[in-house]
Amino acid sequence: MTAPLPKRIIKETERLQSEPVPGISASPHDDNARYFDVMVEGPGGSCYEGGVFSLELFLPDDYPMCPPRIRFLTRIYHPNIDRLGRICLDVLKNNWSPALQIRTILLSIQALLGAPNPDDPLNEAVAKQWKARENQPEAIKTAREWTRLYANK
Amino acid sequence: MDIASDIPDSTDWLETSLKDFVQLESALHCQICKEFYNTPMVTSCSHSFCSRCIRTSLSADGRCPACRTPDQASRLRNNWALQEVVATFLAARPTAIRVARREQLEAQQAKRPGKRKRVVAGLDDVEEAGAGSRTTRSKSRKMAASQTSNPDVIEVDDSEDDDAYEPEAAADDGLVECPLGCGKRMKIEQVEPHLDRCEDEKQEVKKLTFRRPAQQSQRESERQSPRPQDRLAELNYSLLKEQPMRKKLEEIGIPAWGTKQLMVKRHTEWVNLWNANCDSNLPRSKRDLLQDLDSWERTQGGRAPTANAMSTNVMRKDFDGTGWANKNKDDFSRLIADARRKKEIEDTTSDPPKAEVEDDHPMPKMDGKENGSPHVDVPPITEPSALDSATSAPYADNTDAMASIRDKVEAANEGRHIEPLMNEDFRNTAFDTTSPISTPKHHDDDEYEQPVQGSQNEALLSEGLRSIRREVSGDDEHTRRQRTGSPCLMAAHLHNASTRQVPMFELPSEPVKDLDGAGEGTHF
Repeated sequence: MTAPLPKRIIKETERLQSEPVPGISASPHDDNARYFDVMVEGPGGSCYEGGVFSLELFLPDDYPMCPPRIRFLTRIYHPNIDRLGRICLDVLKNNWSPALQIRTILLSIQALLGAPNPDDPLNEAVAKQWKARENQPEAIKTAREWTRLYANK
Repeated sequence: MDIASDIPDSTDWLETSLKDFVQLESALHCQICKEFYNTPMVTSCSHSFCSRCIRTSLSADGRCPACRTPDQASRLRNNWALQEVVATFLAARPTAIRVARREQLEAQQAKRPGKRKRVVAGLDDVEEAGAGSRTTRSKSRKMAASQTSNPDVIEVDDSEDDDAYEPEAAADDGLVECPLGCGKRMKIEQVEPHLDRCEDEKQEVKKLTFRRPAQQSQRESERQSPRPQDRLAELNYSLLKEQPMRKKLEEIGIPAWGTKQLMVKRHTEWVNLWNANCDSNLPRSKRDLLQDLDSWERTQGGRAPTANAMSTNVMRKDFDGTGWANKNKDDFSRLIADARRKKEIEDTTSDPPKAEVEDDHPMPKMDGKENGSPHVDVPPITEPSALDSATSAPYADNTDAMASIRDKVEAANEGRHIEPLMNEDFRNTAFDTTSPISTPKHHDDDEYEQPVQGSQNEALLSEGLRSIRREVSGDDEHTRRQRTGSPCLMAAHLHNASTRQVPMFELPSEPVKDLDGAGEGTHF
């Protein structure tokens, strides 16, 4: 028994393909339309600039009543993203609303890259590094380094 | 036509001469289901959603999806005006889009003078269509509506008549309107008794005034079908024990089997279905609703296929770890043997880049995830990728990365300690900082921190798996865990003395493949 694919998912997919968001691509797998390969470019002006980060995204059965599951596959040095690529982002958790969609979530993630929030960290160690003023240049340097190393095009 | 026409979407207008209609049409879509509003309801914060959508959303979250203001399903009110707009737009849409497309085609042909003549000759009404869409939007829509012979089309004039009818009647009859805003008019002395049954009468009013635009014949058939009238109240589930709950379900005539949790879920679903149907001006029969509930049951309810038979087994409280280990002993031993053999054959230095690369490699296909179960205990997100690791190395071309990786591998194998470009928690006590094994691991560590699996289960799991662990060496255990999809406890895994002797990037790629292949069956 396969759950019917809601029209909403088909529509979102179609729209993602027909009007892609600049710097973001998401394409569903052929054999599972709920599973997406996502590429997000590091926002310009941030220490992730020039990097292309790959993520995976899965739409659970009760989507859009619950948020998509999403995680970074590319390693990234970021206070709100842990070693497993899990993302600490309010809209992916408590602040999810069914009015949001894949497109908006990916934009939020891109924005999170541009504006790390070390005050609400998922990765304590990185956040500590990021928060301490004298260490911040070091942290940003590491983030650049990692972007160059792992998020190359 | 094209694929887009199978599912009407606002983007359909992009390729026509009426590009502004993209916004118009998206404005008529529910933010939740992304379809045209179906029985739109307005929340107390004045946002509109389909009845079914907002009821489901409120029962899950209790907040408006648009502004996150707390709200209750009982405070929803119908947005009849919006409903009528959607209905008329939908009726006019096919013709409008056809005309707009044709005009676009004509415009394109016009740019190529050689072809224009032929097109004009071929399509009789191109001129006419062109004239229509050069006028204002509403005009072209009216025209589109009048062009069609489709009986669904509701002439704009008709609905205007409807609107005009009520106020006129109001002026003449000397009645007063229900103070609760149900729209019903009555003699002033009737107001008091009316207030008690306002909700019920509201249904009648709905039938009288708002169903008028619908086709006559359809309306007749609807009247004959049993119409649900009273909205169901939401229950305070925490106050109800299992038996009373079961009774309640039996009373309203829906399946009453399963655990209390399941019954609560089913009741919530039913209440949403039922009440959304009450909101509708074209309600369906209870049998239809029961069918809907049944399909819910099969996809998200109690009869939904479990996401992963094995994982749900393993997650059970009374999971018999020893029994499981004994039963699968043959498999485990075979896999261990495979892994050992592989280890002997494999050249240690040829593997490392792959192992490193694996971290960043997209996951293998999530076989069977489309089965549509709600209990995705082990979603693809958390499944470690091992399948493709041996065959693809997306970073093979990246000389910088490769060089750095090779350096690290060499250093690790010689026992040198390289400061990893890694954050502090790699030095937490669970890790042996001198052990190189901790550095390259990134997503591979998934097993010990499965994000979705409840941590309360980890203790039980570790209990169940301890017996298995006795006969499994460090990295075999690792791969076996990938198979079962159960969390691998980091401390136990890394403290295993044998792990430390394994060269840093040694990866039993062959057995991992086997395991995954064999594991496919275990997903379902």
